[in-house]
Amino acid sequence: MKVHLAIGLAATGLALPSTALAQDDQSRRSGVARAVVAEPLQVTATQPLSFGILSVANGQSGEVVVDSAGLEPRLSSSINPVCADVGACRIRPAEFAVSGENNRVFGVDLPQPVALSGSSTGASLQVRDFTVGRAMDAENAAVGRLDEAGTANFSVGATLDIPADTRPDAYRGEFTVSVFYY
Amino acid sequence: MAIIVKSFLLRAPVAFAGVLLGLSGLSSPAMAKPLVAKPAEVRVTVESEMHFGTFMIFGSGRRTLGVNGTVIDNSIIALEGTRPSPAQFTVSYDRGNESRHVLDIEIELYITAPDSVQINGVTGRLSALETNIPGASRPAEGQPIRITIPNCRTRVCSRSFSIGGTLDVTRAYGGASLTIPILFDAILLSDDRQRR
Repeated sequence: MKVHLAIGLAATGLALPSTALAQDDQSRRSGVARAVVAEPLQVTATQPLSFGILSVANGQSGEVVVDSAGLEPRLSSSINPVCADVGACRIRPAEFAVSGENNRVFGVDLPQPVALSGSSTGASLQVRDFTVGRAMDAENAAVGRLDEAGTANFSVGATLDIPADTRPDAYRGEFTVSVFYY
Repeated sequence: MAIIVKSFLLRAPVAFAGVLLGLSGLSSPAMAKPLVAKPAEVRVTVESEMHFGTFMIFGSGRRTLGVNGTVIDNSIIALEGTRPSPAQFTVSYDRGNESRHVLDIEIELYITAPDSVQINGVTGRLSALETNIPGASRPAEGQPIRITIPNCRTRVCSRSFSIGGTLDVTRAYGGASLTIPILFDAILLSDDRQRR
């Protein structure tokens, strides 16, 4: 009887390590699921593209190039500004403010040529060759980078064609730029 | 005279060391340390985390990540960044040093995640987990997953598996780096000696 009891205990002892497992922290692990949800980009026009107030020699055509990087505008010899470079006379690029995910790279889609319409005559002028600059990447003008605060600014220039015999008027138009995460 | 002094100085440290060795032999349990039984244990190892990548949403969206890395988007604009990838885990059985038998191992795995996580104006909810564990491709929430490791002949036997799932995201404002904890609990059901 004693022998049987001894064997029974021994068997239990051998089985214990298997059933009473060392269920310590090794058997429990915490993983994670991650995702980066970027704030959508928003763009706001903060300053319009302005070609100033100009006079054109009779029978002459010309063009006004507004530089997106803020360099001096280039005017054909037949075109002259009629007033000093202030207020409505000022020739300057459009300015846009962008907000979104900090440090992210964004791109800008520029418009195709757009038409300006004379408010009195209904005549039209064409603006073409939109360019983007300022705060954009030096090597790739199509992209910019949002700063630590998730903001950036960029400017847009373009070229205004003034055909011969353009009638005097105030010409206006709209253009659209769109931004996207690059 | 000088030689005698040298001899004395050389001999003294040797004798002292001998005494020290003797003492340590008497008192150190390492000298007569018995073999300690190392019981079996189950381990869970995180090989890689689940990553749903980088994206943009307006309002709300959903990304489903398959165990093989497939991605299905709903109202999500994918962006450059970390590539989406399922989680990789390994469940291991270490028999310790008490058995050399061929074993059939059965382990129960519980996977739990919080209902939702909110960071700033972004709320994420992980659901519809899927695994490549045989018989548990889409385990219900709280449902134990049975992992079998038959014919275990080595000290450590393991199974690696992938986990995907669906992440629903709602954005009220701003952006966020969402981190959703997932808890893995492994319990040994049996480690029976294989019958021949």
